[in-house]
Amino acid sequence: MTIIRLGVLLMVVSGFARALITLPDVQPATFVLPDLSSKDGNSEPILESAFISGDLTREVHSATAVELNNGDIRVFWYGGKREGSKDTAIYSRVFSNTTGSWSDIHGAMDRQKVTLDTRRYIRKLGNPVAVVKGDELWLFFVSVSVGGWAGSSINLSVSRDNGSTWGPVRRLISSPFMNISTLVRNAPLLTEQGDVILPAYHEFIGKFSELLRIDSNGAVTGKYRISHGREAIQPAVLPVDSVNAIAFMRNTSAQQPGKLWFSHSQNNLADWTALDPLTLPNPDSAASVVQLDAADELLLVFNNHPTERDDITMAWRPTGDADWQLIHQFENLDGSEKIHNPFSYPFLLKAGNGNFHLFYTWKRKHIKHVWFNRAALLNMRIAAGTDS
Amino acid sequence: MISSSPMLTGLSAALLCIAWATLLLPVARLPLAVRVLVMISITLLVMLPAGNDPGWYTVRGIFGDSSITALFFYIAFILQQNFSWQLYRNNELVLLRWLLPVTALLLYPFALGLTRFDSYSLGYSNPWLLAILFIMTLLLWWRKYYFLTITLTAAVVAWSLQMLESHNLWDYLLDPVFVVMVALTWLKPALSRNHTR
Repeated sequence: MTIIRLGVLLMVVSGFARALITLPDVQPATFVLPDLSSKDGNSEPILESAFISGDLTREVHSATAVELNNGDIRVFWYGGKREGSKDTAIYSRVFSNTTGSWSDIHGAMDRQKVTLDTRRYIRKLGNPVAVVKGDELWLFFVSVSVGGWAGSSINLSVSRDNGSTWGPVRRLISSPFMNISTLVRNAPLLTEQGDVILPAYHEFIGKFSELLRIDSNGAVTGKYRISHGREAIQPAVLPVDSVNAIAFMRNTSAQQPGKLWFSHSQNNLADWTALDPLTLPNPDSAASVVQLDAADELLLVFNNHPTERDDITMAWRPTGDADWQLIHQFENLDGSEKIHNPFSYPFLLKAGNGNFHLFYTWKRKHIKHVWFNRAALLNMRIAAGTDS
Repeated sequence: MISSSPMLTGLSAALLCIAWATLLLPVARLPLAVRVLVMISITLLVMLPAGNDPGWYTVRGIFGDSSITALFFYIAFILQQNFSWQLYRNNELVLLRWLLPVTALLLYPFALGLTRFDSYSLGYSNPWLLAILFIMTLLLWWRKYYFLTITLTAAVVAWSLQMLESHNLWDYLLDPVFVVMVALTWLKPALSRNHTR
């Protein structure tokens, strides 16, 4: 055996030994469960709405929100001349929990910052979602270098001052195919291990949902597939116990369109049931869901039509085996108006004080905010005949 | 770390561009001085700012980061085609032309959602994937395919050091641009014959 041959063998053995020693020991994810106890003592109903995105940009879309540690609500959306234009940026403002007023709108992220920080040419930004992790606010959003949204990649930036300023943007690597076509839309979950579970989806060739596991350094360390094929995207995921979650998904199926998809994990985030169509319709559009007083008592906001986004409706499901009941319609297009997809991308947030904040895209021109409390919710249920 | 160093990331994008130019353009037929000039020009074009940002921002934005195996191959390919420095044996290139498409078939369709099974997710911390790679690398060593042996080992070590942005072993082993390039060297045997003149 020559010295070179022996040297190469030693290099191989030591290299692989090093990799084996440093192989990450990934523990099964256990969720940090939300506090579902009702805290709203206000017996007076609150049901207020307002356009909150101002007139900085001609078009706006895809609002999401997060409750900050001080109880304020920070909302994010993206806007620009139009959906795919180069001037799209992510905007944000804060709703004060104490005064009920809004802060000024400010730009949270633009493509110049993302280009500089990720050292990649960036053409447009979109779909922000945020989560509070300890004292930090983590903002995930997608960026596109070439092509349409199918060419998206996910980025992460962290704020240590509740979103007033943002740290360096880092790129999440979530696909081996030039890292394109992974997007986000719905709220992340936290785990006891300190990780973030980020609901994500793909829409390049396949249209499917999955969960990304992101460690405390902001690196993707695991993936769990919820669906496959070209059936379901934009998963809205809720934990039902420490190891299981449920997911509601937008229906993109050509074979079985028109119904909202549902799936639940089976004691393992890598093992999800086959897609199950709910009785609720879905016109290939995003839906949002929150838990009320129990893990299986749900409020869901969606477009209540199999093909059109002409309304924004809320449904209530009292228990896991009960039927969905329609309890309120926030929007309904006047029959005389001819607008394509006027109402879309609802995002419902349940705040710690028991109030609800709903955000959605209004005719692409505004982000509309609807603020209601438990008493208003009870009134909606009574009016809908689901409660007495 | 490659991805944390702008210089190294820029150079890896330049390597990608030079390798593609070497493959697609008749560079090998030019005099040595012109070849060197072409390579320097490409490097400058990629590294220097064009507008607000260096050219490699665009290369990286479109194609992503090259895998470690791709970087090794690009260096060897450029040296072999332009300077007749033989870093890999022809048998190794033949094997790579089989191995890479087969691996790509095992990875990309599943990563793009063909089935519930996602082979890409095995790349985060699966010891069996590492074991298979180890056996494969030992077999390559046994056959005296030292370029492939060293390349695979380097990819695994780079992964253990997290030298790229990705924490997934697959991203250190292959990338689509590399797969297409190796496939093109297969489809264009005349190009790979140039260096044997």
